[in-house]
Amino acid sequence: MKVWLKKLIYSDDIVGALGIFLVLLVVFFSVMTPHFFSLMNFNSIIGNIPAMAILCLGLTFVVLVGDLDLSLGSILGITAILAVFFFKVMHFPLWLNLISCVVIGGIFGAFNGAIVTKIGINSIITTLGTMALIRGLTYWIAMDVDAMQVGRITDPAFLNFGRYYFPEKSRLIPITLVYLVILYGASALFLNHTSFGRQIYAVGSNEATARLAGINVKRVRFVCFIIAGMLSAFGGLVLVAQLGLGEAYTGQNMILEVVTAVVLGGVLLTGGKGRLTGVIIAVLILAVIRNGMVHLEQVTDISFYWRDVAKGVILLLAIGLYSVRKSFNAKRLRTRQ
Amino acid sequence: MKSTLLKMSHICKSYPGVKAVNDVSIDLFAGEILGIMGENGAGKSTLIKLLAGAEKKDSGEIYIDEKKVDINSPKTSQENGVSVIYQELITMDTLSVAENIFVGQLPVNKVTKLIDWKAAQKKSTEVLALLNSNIKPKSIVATLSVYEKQIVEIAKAIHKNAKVVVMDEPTAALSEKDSKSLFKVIENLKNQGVGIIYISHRIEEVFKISDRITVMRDGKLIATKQTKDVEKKEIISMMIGRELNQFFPEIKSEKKGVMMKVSDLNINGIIENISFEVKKGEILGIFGLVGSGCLNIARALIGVDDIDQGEIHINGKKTSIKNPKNALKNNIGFIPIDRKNEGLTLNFSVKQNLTLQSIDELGSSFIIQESIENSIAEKWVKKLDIKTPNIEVEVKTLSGGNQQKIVLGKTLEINPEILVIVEPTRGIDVGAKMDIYKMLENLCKEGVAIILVSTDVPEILSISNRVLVVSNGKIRKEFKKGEANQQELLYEASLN
Amino acid sequence: MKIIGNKITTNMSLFAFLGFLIIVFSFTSEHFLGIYNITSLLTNISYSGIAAIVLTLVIISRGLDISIGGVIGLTTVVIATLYSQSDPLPVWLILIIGLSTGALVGLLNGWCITVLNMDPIITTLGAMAITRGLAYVISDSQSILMFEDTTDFISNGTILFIPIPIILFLITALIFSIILHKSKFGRAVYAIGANETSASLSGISVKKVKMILYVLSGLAASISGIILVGQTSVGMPQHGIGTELEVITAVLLGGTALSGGKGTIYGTIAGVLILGVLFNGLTISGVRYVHLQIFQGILLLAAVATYEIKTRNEVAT
Repeated sequence: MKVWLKKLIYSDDIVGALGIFLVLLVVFFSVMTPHFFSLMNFNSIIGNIPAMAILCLGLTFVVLVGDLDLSLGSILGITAILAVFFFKVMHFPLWLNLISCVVIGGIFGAFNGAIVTKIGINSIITTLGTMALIRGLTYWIAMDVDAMQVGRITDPAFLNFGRYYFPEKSRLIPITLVYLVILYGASALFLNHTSFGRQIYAVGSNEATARLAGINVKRVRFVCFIIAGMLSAFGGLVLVAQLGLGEAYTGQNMILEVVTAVVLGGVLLTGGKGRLTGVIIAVLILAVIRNGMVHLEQVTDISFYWRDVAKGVILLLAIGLYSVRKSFNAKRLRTRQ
Repeated sequence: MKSTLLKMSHICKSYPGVKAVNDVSIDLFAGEILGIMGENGAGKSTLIKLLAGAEKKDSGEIYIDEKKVDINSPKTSQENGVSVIYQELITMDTLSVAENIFVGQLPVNKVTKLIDWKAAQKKSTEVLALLNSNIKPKSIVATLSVYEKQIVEIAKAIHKNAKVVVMDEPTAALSEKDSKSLFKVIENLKNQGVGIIYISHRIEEVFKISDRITVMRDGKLIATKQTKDVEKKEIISMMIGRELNQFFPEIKSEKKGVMMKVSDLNINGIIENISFEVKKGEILGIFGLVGSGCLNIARALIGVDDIDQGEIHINGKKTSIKNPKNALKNNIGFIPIDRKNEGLTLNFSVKQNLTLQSIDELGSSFIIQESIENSIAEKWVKKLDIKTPNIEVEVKTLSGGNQQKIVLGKTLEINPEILVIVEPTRGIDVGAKMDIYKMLENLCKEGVAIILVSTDVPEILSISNRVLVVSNGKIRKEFKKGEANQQELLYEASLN
Repeated sequence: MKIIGNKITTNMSLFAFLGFLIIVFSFTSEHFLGIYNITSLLTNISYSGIAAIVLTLVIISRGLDISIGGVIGLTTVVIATLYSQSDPLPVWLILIIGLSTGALVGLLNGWCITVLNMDPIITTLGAMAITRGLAYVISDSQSILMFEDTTDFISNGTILFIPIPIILFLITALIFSIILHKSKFGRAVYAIGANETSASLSGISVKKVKMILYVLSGLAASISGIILVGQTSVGMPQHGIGTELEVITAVLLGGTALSGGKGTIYGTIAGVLILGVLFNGLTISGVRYVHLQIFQGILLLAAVATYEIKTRNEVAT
C-alpha cells in the first residue's frame, strides 16, 4: 500500500485535520460576515471557553484511562455555589476560597473514583448517579442559605480572578487565557513526560498488560477521577468570577457538550489514546461555530441554532470515519488460524 | 559447564477431573533453547502458566539460578527474570513501540524526574538492533504487522533483562519469511546467554533451532532428548503414545452422491485454492497445526470469514454463504471451536440454548410456544444423554461435556445435511466423547456429510473416512482411512 | 429454576421497596393516597415510562439511546409547527409525521451503530445534539401554542375514568412485556445482549434486530413527545431536556444491566414507579422539587451497588 494512504488510514493523528477544519471555519465566517474577524470578537470567543475547556481537560484524564465521568458539570455547579457561599457567608479570603473549592472538587472526584474502582460499578452509571446527587446538593445549598438567594458578587478582587487582562489597560490577553495555557501546558507535561502520565495511557490502552507491568491500575483510575474533580472545581471558580454570580443550575447540561468536544478532539472512548492539542482545538471548533453562527444569522436568514445540528453532524462524521478506519484495520490484521 | 538457569522439579497441577501437569521436571541452561512438544492438551500450556505465575501450582519447586523461588503472581515471575510471550500478544496498540518496551519503567531524567524520551528511544533502538529489527521506536504499535508486534514483545522481555524467555507457538501467525527472521532473533538471544523455552507443534522448526527437546503427553513428561541425537519420527511417536479409538467402524451410508463441493476457495493471504468434496454419509477430516488455516476454511464454510474467490456447491447447486444465518438456511449445521464464547450463551438456560438456532420453529406466530420449546429441549436432553437437573438451569453451571452436547443438539435441531465441526471433543470427559462419537455415527448412517476440523490426531484418524492435511493455507495431502498412521499425519502437517 | 428465581427476587425486592415508600409517604402526607394524587402521579410517569419500557430492550441488547430527550423536544416542535400553519394538515397526518420524526432518528442511530459499527453512546449523543438543534431551528427558540382537541384528548382525556396516558403506558408495557418475555424477537434481543458472537452464529440477524430496536426507541420518544404537547398545550425545543437521564435511571433501577442480556419489563415498571412515587411523595411532603435529585442519585447508586455486590457473591459461590 502507498505510504501516504497507509498514514491516512492508520495514523492516529487527527490533530492536523482538526486544525485545518478550524482554520476553514474561521475563514468561512470571516468571509461571510463583516464582524467576525476582529480582535474584540476573538477575545469574546476566548472569553466564552474557559469553563468548557477546563472541564474538557478534566474529562480527558478520565477518558484516557477508559472511564467516563458525567458528573463533572455538577461538580462545576456545586463549586460555583460553594464559592459564593464561602465568599458571602463564611467571608473566606480569595486564596482560601480557591483552595477549599478545589479540595472539595477533588473529594467529589474521589467519591466517584472510589465507587468505580472499589465497588466496581461501571463509571457511566456511577457518575450518572452522582451527577444527580451533586446537582441536588447544589440546589439545597443554593436555596436553603438565605444569603445565597442573591448570588451576585461585586468584590473586585474576586471578579478579577476571572476578568483581569494583561496588560490591564489595553485588554490584550485575558487572565482566563493564561489559566488555560498553564493548565493545558502543565497537563500536557504531566501526561507526556511523567511516569504517572504514561501509566494513565498504559492503563487505558491495555489494562491487563499494565497490570502485568506492575502498574497499580486501580490507583491510576482513582487519581484520574480526582484530577477531573479538581479541574471541574477550578472551572466553576473561573465561571463564577467571570459571571459575577453562581447559580444552582450553573453547568447544567454542559457535560454532553464536554463529551462531544473530547471525543471530537480524538480521545478514544475506550482509553489509551488522545492528545490535548486535539481537545483544545475541538473546544475552539465548537466555540467558533457557536459564535460564528450568531454573526451569520445577522447577515443571512440562517438561524444560529443550526450550531447544535452542526455540532452533532460533525461528531457523527468524525466518529463514523474513525469506525470505518478501524474495521479497515481489523481486516488488514486478520491472521491465519 | 553451563550453569542451570531454571529448574522446575516435580511440578503438579490438577483441575477438577484432570491432572493437567503430573510430576513434571525440566531444566534449562543459560544460552540454550529447549523445545517443548506435545499434542493439544498434553499440559505444555499449563506448565508455562505455572512458570509465568498466571496459575498456582499444587506442588513442586521452581529454582532460578539454583535458588528456590516462590512464583505466585505474574509480577513475582517477572521479578525473577521470566518473560512469557503468549500466542495472543498483549501489546498496547494505541501506544508507541518504545513505550511498549518500557511499559511502567520509562527512563527518567535524574534531576527533573521527567521522562527521558530521547533515552527511551535510544535504548529501544539498541534493543531492537539486537533483534536485527529496524522498527522505529516512535511507531504506533497498531500500525505494525503481527511479526513486528512479536519483535516488540521480545524486545520488552530483553529490556527487562529476562533470563528465561518462553515463546508459545510464536510462528503460528507468521509467514515463512518472518519465521526465518524470528529464528535468527532467537539464535541471537541464545548467544547472549538467555535461556529459551520454545513451544511449538511444528517439528521442523523445533529440530532446526532447539538444543534439547522435551516431550509431554497427557500431563506427564515422556522424555527429554538432545536434539542432535534424536530422529523426528522418534519424537512424533513419543508425542502420540495414545492408542487409536478402535470402536469407530467405517460407515456405509445408504445414501450416495456428493453432498458438498468446494472449489478454489481463496481468502487473500490466508487460504489458497482449497478444493474438496464431501459425500453423503462421509466424515471428511481436515487436519492442520495451529496457524495452518484450517479454522479459516471451517469459518468460510459457515459464512463467518469472507471469501475472496471460489465456489461452493451443495447438492449440485451453487450456493453462496454470506453469514451463519445463510449457512443454517442451507442446512449447514456447525460446532464452533470456542464452546463458551461462540457455541453457547452461557447465562441462557439449557432449553434456551438448545432452541436458539431454531427460534423460528417455536410456533407459528411470533410468540414462542413453550410446549414446543420444552419438547425440543427434552428431546435432545434424552437423545444426547445431557446430564442436567432440568432444562431451566443456566448452561454455565454444567460440565464441559454436557455443554458440548448442548452445542451439538442445538445445531442438530435444524436437521443439517452438512455438519461442520471444529474440535468437537476438546476438553471434555471420555464418557461425553463417546456419546458424541456415537451421535456422529448415527448421523452418517442418516446420510449427513460431516466435515471435522481437529488437531486431535487419534480422533481425526479414527473417525474420518478421509483426511486432508493443511499447512500454510494449502491442502498438502489427502489420506484415505487406514492409509496413514499418526506419525505420518503429524509429519506431513508440520512440513511447510 | 435459578434464572427465574433470581428474576423474581430482584423484582420482588423492588416492589417491596415501592410498597415501603408508599407506606412512608402515606404517613408523611395525608394527601398522598388520595385518588387525585395517585392519578396525577401515574399520569406524570406515563410520559417518560413509555420511553423507559422501550429503552429497556435497547439496553438489554447492550445498546443505549441518549437521544430520547432530543427526539421528544423535536417531536413537540414539529407537531406544533405543522398545526400552527395557516392551512394545517389534518391532525392524524400531523401525528403520523410526528411519529415518523422519532422513527427516522432511530433509523439514523441504528444505521450508524450497525452498519458503521459506531459506539451507541456517541452515536446517540450526536443524534441528541442534532435533534435538539433542529428543534431550536424549526421553532426559532419560540414556544408554539397548540390547542387542539386530539392531542388534548390523548393527554388529558379519560376512558372509564382512567387518564389516557396511563392507558397508553399500560398498553406499551403489556405489548413490550409480551415481545420481550414471550416472543421470538425478545429471545433474540436477550441473546444479542448476552453474547453477540454466539447470537450471530445461531443465525440471528443481529443488525436487523438492533435497527428495529433503535427505531422503536425513537418511536416511543415521539409518543412521549405527543403526550407532552397535549399536557402542556405547547411545543417547545426545551421539552424533554434531561428526560433521557431520568429514563435511563429508571431502567437501571429496575435491574437492567448496562452490560446487556439482563433485565425485565416488570423491573422497569418498578423502576419508573419508584422514581415517580419518590418524586411525588417527597414533593407533597414538602421537599422542594430541586432537591429530589439527591434522592434520585442515591437510589441509583444504592441499587446498582446492591446488584453488583449480589452478582459478585453469586460468582464467588
